[in-house]
Amino acid sequence: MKSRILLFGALLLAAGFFQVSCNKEDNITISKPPLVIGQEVSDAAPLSGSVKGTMLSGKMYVLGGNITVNEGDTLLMQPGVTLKVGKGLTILVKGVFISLGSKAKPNWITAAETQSKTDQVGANPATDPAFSGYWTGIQCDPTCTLLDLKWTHIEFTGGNFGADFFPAGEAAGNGAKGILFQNPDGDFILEDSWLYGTIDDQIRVSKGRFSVMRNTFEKSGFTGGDAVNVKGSSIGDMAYNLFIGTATNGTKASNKSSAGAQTNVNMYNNTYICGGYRQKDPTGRGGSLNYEEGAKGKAFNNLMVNCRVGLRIHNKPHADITNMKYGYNYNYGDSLRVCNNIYPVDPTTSVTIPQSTDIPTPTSDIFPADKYGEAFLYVQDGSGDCPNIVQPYDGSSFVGKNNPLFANFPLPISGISHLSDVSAVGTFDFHLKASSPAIGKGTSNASNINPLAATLVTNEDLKATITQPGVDMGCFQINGTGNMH
Amino acid sequence: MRNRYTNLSIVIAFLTIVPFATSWAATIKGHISDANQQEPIIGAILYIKDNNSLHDVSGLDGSYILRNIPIGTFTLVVSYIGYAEFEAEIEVGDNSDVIVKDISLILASTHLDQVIVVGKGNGETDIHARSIEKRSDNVVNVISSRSIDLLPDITAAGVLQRVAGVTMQKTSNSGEAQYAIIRGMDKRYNYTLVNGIKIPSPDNKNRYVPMDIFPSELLARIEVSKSLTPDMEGDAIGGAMNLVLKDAPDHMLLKASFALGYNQLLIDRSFYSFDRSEVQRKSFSEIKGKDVLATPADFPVSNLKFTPGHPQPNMTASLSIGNRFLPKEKLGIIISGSYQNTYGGANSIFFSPNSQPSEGTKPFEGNKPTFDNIENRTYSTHQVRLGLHMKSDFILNRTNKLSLYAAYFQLDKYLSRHSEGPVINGSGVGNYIARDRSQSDLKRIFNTTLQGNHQFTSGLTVDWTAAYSRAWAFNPDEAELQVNSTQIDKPILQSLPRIWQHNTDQDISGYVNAGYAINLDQNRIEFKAGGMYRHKNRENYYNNYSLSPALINGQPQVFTTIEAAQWEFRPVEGGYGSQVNQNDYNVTENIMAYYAEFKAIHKEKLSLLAGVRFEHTDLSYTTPMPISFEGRAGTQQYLDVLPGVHLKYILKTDQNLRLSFFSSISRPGFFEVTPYLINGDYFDEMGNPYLRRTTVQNLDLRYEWFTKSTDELLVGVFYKLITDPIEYSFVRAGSSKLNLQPQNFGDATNYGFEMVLIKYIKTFGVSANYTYTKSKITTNKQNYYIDGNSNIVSDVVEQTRPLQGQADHIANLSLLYKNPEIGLDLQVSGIYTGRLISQVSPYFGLDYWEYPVTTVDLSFEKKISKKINLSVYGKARNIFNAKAITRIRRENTYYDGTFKLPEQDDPHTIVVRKEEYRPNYLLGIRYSY
Repeated sequence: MKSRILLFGALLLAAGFFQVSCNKEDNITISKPPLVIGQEVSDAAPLSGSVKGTMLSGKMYVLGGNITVNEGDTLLMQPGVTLKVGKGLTILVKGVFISLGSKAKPNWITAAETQSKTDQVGANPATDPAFSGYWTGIQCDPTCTLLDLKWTHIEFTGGNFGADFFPAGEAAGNGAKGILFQNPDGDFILEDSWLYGTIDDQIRVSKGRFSVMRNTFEKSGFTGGDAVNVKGSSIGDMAYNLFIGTATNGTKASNKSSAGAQTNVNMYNNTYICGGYRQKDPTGRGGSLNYEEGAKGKAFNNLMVNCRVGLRIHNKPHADITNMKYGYNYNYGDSLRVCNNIYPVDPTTSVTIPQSTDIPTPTSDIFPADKYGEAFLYVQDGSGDCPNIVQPYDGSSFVGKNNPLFANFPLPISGISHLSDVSAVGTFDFHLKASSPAIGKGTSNASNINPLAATLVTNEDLKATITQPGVDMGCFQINGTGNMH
Repeated sequence: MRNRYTNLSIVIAFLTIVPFATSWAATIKGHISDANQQEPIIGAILYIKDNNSLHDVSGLDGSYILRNIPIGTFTLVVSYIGYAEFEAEIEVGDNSDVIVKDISLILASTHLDQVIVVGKGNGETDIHARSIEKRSDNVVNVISSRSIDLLPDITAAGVLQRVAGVTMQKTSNSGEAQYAIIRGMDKRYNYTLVNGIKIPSPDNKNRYVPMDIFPSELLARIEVSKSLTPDMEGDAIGGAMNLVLKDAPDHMLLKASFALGYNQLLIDRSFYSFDRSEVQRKSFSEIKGKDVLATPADFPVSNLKFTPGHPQPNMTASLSIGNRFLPKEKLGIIISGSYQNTYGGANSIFFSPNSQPSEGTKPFEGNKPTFDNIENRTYSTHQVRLGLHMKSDFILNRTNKLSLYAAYFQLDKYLSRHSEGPVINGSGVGNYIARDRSQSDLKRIFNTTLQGNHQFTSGLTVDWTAAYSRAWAFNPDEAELQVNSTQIDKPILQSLPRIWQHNTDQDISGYVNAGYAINLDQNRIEFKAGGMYRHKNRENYYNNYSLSPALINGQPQVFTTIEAAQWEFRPVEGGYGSQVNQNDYNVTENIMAYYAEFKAIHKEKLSLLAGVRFEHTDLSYTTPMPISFEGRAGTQQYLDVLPGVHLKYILKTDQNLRLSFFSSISRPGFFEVTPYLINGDYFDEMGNPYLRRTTVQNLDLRYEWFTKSTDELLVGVFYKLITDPIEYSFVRAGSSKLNLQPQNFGDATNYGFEMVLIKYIKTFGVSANYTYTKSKITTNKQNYYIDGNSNIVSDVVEQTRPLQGQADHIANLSLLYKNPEIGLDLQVSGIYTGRLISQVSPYFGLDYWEYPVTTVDLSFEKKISKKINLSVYGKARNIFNAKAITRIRRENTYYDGTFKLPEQDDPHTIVVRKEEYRPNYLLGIRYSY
């Protein structure tokens, strides 16, 4: 017994020395005062009307009415602030809104009345409070120059705009997006946050520079809507996010309503679980990643499990296919239905070219080059559309293959009636087991994929924290980087 | 007058003729006219007394001819209703070959002679119409009631398209004329008068009036003034349309008509009607209160049940009764009513555009049009049109007259639209979408006017008018059911919008004019001055709800029947609808205007009218938006000084040369200056509180030759310099999306040439007009393309194009045959409308062009009794089923290949819409006493 203790102690000691000897740089951390901007916001009474200043760490604030952060004003939430929003209310941002949660002290922006979270598999979406649209969400006017959300829970959004309070371009009675950002010259940063439940899109960037990294998206969209949906003239990275049970896509890029620059989006190291099954549009509008209508970008190292369709490079209206790069994407499917749509086939016209770096490997016997190669699929007519699209193929050999071996999410999924029954993380754990075949199959080669790092904010506290592409498929890297949830 | 020896002389003549029968040779001819007005009388009966074989009826130009008159002396008799019978002895000698005899008839009743103020005349004849054109101080075209009766049209809008320089914008649901574009100037640039009084519009956004609300049978005439004198309201750029309703008659009048008809389309296919018994005039929140949450059960769906079938025949009926009463027939009254119950529709194919074109493949060749859906649309349109009108005048004495009139017009349209087709572009590509829409569009206009005309001394006249007008409309419960499917047996239910909208526009106005005339030597000078004030109040209400299909067992709902569909509001707050928003607005507008003008007439040769008009506009609007909302309320105040000079040089008694210069304005639509936002089909549309009025300088030159009182030749040119024309264009400010917004765009020009020819030869007539118009405007357009670095970019470029709605060539040609002898009128009318921009695209080069259309109509009227004035009439419209085709003028990548679209017929233009309405027939009887 003693010897065992000794041995253990020795090992511990050895480990300690090893640790010290490995750290060539100083490992000094000193406390910094929390960021304060303007006056302290009082929590004495429910907030409404114009609000600016700093919400102090550890306090709970209540929105009793709609609030506006005026142009030129800033509202800052220090770490560990809870903001309870009354039913149907809106946070309208014309200036700057910052929520600086931390891993230890995340922030909460949630429903004022406690909503039960029905995270068990198979919860009925019709009665799920996640899809009730309790409050509208964070709505930015085109004048909003910065929306910066870190380590923040944002829940139960997507309500209808009330009689007389909504952002530019919207109207009373319209359904809200969970977060709306629409300044082509502004920055939107969403990091390490949890977004739970909304009726339509959870994030809509109509225009702007953005960085959406290391977040968890649950229950995005009731019978339509994407988790992160960006339109014309939007530029940025969507990386290391976990999407589970999205109505439609996890990440979507389009250059629709372009008013200047072209939409350019990198989507890398995201994990998509059971996406695309809650759509009332029978053809489906995608289920994981989607590029369309003049958008360009790079898509690498993404892990898709039981999604309705894989990466969709949409044809009509066509994505900017000549400026698209993608590969090293990993698909797993329990069923033939899923495996036959790793590359989306008719009727959702797409021109996704199977890449040799993809998993499962698209062998030439299933994907002959004359039908699935660039020389065939990327032919364009005068309007830029492609006359040839991805034709149905036999995906039977992929069924159940390449199980990514999640820490706690047994595959094939059992005990469910529809794949749409899976829409929340709950007790699941989507970290890769050490034996996962998804480890090391991605690319970190900058010539393949490198972050756009489009946002311009430079302040140390506020700027986007970019995680470089990682070689393990999906959002959790075996070395502990990537998604921190 | 009667010669008791006439009979004897005829007997003698007869006896003389018989032996020399072979020498019958002479011809008698001439014209018959009104003794006072020297206007031809059409349809007067001529005969040789006691000779059944020698007779004629005067033609359209008043001419007659009697051939083969034997030598001798005869009595020529001429009779015509309302005129004293005329008899004259004619002697035909040995060497008589052609005898020319012009005859003047004298009115039988002369009770109006004592009235000076009442410049009576039959205001409904062509002759009167020509006379107005000839005598007016400005450039006017007139169509008389007599012409209207024979036209194939049943609404004022239909009639207007026969006027030179007028094109009509047609409804897409039945292909009927609705809004007037005059000389290439869009509907917004023209105004409508009823009996000279401007009326408000039941339109929910704009000032212009839908001209299809007026049944043509109530009209005495339509006048289109293309130049404005200072005594007219100054806010027309294309022209002012004056609908003159029938006047109180001189004598007992009774007119009635009844007709039945059918539309070929509804013989060929079914009409889809919907049950409107449960349609509520007001929305749930108006009835129950804003704070009450509606549930899906509060929205009955019976208006979404469509029943196919063949409707009852179309029916039109009208009745006019009028007479004069009291001693000296001082009081005249006419009451008219017209009722039309018609069914029509349209079949069309439409390619709904993606809001953003494709960038194309080659550098710098952007804006390739793309289409999201193919929609095969079937419209079923039920229209109920009612017009009531009462006009009375009370002649106090020789110098004072009062008139009171009231008119009410109602047009109820019940529209159903079925559309279906595949999604060929966009995120939902591959779906097959079917939509069923039901709409009720109920419009009304009421106008009442009290008017006084007074002559104080021999030179001073004063007239005044007090008018109250109200226009209102309801659009209750516009609903559209949509199902999307990929499998025919599994259509998935989509959201169901329900929209309520209503609006009122009310005017109270007063007008005073005073005129004074003096004669100096050989000159006559008339002064005129006056003013008007109008207080307008407009209110709009809008609310929309969107019902969502409930999930069934957690899965999207498969549609079976509308009754079985299960709905919910998601979120439940959707049950409040849109509550209040920018689309609710109130506008108050006060316009005060005054003018002074003088007219100098020199030796009946030269007339100069010059003057200036001042118009003060004071508009204010409010919306129910909160104080924090920019533009929740606003005002616009401005003063316009509008000079005008109208010169008329009388070349000969039947020829005029006119030169006009005038300034005018066009005010923005009420809605356009409020900060509204409407979610459009393709783009959202927003208002512009900074929108300015359009101002314009107009120049007109016209030569007129009234060869006979029914005939004319008018040749003219016009030029307009337009400052701040209003066009819809893309704007980025205020929203990330590109919204359409009405904006002012620098200067535009519009010029053209106009010609009218009306010529009658005996029983044949031709009426033709032609207008050439050219306009230019430069606006900002979006350009979406691949730049030199292979980036897809969009920027804003300028594009010069014609004004929206301006056709280069417009022509009308009518051939008439009028045989009063057998009481038959026949008319073939053709309208040619050249290529025009029907919709301005926000993108460079992608404007929608309506291609040239020629429609041909037939009509006739035949008297069926000589004793009573009873006739049968018929109208057949659009007999060759002219199709309306709209195109984008770009190389057609959809002509063939993988993405081939149906109906493409040209590799160089893209067909984006094709509509047909099929012929329409009407047969009826008309009686007049």
